[in-house]
Amino acid sequence: MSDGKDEDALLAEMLALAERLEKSGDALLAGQYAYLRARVAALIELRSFGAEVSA
Amino acid sequence: MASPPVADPFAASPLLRRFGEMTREALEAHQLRKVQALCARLHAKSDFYRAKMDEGGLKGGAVDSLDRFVKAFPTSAKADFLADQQVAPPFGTRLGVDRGDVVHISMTSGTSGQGQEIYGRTQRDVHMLGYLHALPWFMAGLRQGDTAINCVPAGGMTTGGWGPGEAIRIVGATGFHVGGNTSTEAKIDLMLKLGGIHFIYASTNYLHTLTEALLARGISPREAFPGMHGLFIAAEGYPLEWAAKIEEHWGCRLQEGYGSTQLNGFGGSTGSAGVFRANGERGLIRLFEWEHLIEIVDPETGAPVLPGELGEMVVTNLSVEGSPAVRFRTGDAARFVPWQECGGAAWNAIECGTIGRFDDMMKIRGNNIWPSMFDAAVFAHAEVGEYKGRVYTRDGKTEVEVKIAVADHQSGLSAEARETLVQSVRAAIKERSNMWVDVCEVPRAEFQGFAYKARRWTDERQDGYRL
Repeated sequence: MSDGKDEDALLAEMLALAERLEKSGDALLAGQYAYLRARVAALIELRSFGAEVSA
Repeated sequence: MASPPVADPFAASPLLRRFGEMTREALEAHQLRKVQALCARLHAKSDFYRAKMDEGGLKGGAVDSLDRFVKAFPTSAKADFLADQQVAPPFGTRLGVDRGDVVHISMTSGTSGQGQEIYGRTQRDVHMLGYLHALPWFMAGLRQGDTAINCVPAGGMTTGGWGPGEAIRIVGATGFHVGGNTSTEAKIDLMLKLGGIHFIYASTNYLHTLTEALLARGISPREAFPGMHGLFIAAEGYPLEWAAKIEEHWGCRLQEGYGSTQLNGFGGSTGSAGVFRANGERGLIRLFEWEHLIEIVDPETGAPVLPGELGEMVVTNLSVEGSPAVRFRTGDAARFVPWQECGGAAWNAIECGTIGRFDDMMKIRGNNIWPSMFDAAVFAHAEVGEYKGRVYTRDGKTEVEVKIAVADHQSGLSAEARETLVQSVRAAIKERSNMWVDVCEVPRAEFQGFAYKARRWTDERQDGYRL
């Protein structure tokens, strides 16, 4: 994939999906889903140069 | 025992409940699917395992039943892996992925003296490494928001160096990795400052050392750490009398796991049940058979042992991508308890607290003796802080010497009580091993450096053969 905007969009979609997983209510998986969400969020953050900083 | 129950992990996790409710038939069907995928992948990628499968007649890596798998797939042992690494360093030809997919390594500790196995791990393997530590700890009561003390040295190149950190993180707890560079006194100082600790992971021997040091400072663990809901040990056996004392001192359940580098973490644990069964007998390490295929076999014939018998653990991790261990002979000795005798769930078990090593066995005066027999006899005495044993030759006869040290918090024992203790230890050893041995008391200071993984025995008999 070469289009950076596509990657941003995919990551945003993955973040939304990971946030849904976090609400699964399974205590064994809750921390792992939070970890997944955080890794995606970190990728969004480190790619955010030049973008508007969220509050 | 008297310790409070752990919050039901099956109620908190639908995934775990699924594992707990599956029938034996469904469990074995799941294992077969994973074995088939593993063999197909390794036949395509691994020269080492392709040769094994060809040797066993598993054409193209095809496996049609678990029975066929365990009968046809030849076992491997440490020496095979070391030889393979010599041929194709560093990972050998058993690697199941492209070299570029290896992002982490696990090495065995090298305490056997034979050499260190090197295992390549992929990104997925690293997550599974964490999960295979998190799983038993979750069952033992570790939860998001808890404070956990990891007394095993962190980092480095071992499975035990990385698994705990990954596990505590993916459970969502906060880990204080105090093992290695921090003295016991400094650990206690830190623990007292934290304002609440919920979980401790330590080797059996280190939990003993930590408890002894707390008591020597006049600190009651259960009063100092009232929020503690899990003590989790691994690596060494122990007598039940010791376990009962530990639970009494800490006011919570003691749990145990069986794990190894070959399993990429834990292969089973006492779950939430603790190290005692309801009738007060030794508890069970229930095996995580949806993640591993664990056989317990006669080390001479390779045939499965009968219920209640001692056998060698032969392990296959079903999910590792990088350096899988397929039908690996661990040399670990465990007593087999079939799932039908475990009181729920279709997972087989081994007896907890008694896992030993077949290669630790000492032939003394015609008796087969394991260090765990002596551990049980000596540590049944709460006054004993540590011991070490020596087998040697004197005037052509094999002799056994056991040196015991009184625990720091028992330093007020009178000379008479100390002599009674020595005689009681001697009698307990005779009862368990059928041998009379020499027992004497030495200062506790002789045991510095014993804290993490005790190597209590030395065999000096060959020295007696020198001319």
